[in-house]
Amino acid sequence: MKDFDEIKQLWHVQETSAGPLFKDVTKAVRETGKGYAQKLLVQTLSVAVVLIALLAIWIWVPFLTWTAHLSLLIISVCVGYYLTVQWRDYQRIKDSSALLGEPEKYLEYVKSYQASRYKLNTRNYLIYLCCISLAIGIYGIEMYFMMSTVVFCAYMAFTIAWIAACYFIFMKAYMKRENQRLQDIISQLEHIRKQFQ
Amino acid sequence: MSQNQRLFKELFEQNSRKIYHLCYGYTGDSDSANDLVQETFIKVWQNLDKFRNQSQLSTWIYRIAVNTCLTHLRGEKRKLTEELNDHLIENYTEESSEKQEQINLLYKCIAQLEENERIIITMVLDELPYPEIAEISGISEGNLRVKIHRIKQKLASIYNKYERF
Repeated sequence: MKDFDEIKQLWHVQETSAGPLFKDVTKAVRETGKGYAQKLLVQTLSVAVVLIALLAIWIWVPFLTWTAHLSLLIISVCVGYYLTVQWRDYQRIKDSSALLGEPEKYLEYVKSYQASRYKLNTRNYLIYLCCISLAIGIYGIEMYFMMSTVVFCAYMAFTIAWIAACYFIFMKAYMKRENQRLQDIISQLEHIRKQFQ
Repeated sequence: MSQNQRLFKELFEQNSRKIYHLCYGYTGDSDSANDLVQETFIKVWQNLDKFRNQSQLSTWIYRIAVNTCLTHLRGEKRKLTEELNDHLIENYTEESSEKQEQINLLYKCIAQLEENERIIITMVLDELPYPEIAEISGISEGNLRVKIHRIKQKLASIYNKYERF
């Protein structure tokens, strides 16, 4: 039979050579720094290029109907929204003040962050998808005057099929998977958080 | 080497061993523990400016390590706990001495504790002062003393149960 103090002696005889080396950690620090900056740069540039292309099309292409302008306005707002969300989330990840907080509060923060990501990836994405679909749909009015009836019908059929597939197949499956994942994470966070109360 | 780099190196040398123990005690797996130590020190580096003027730098490093550990396992948690015991034993079969076996057994016993108990007991084993443990874990000192007393008893009981076999 050993008491706690005898058990504690064992702790102090364990090998001390284990654990990562300083050079490995500094290498990881450098790589992480590059990764963050690169990811942000690539994502921001990609969205910015899309936004500039949209604005260029809007300015230089002479559209026949006001619905084409409305369509481009909706798409520009959607892309702008995406850019804002991306930037906000980056700032939120970069702000590590929550990480330095008490474990219970930190777990609460992670839980709320996961919940907000879920809302973004499901409800907000659905609104985003609806707006893009609406924009593509009303752009069809412009297409009607520019295309033959056969091509126009094919365009509309493809658009409707794409919207339906996005909503009824991809979106439903994605939301189900996300919800399951979120529930698992939140129940684990709750389980650990209660231990600190 | 810049002033920040020098400070970072100093912090690493002073704290990495204890942080490794904490992470190993929490995960029961040396690879995961290494990853967690690395992740902890990446966060330390990213927040180095916020550490300035803090009297107890080690407390802040521990807090980052604790928060990193708590949110690490997620999906793997259940599976890991089940596989942990076998893994710990297999890990050292080649060079196992009696002492090493006892240390492995100790980690195996720590793995039987609740998540917060694992964290608290590794800090107790590393002889961190109680006020520091209380500050790291966000638990009042009075409450912590009661918890530590219970965890010590629980750990000793688990250890002795295993040692009999």
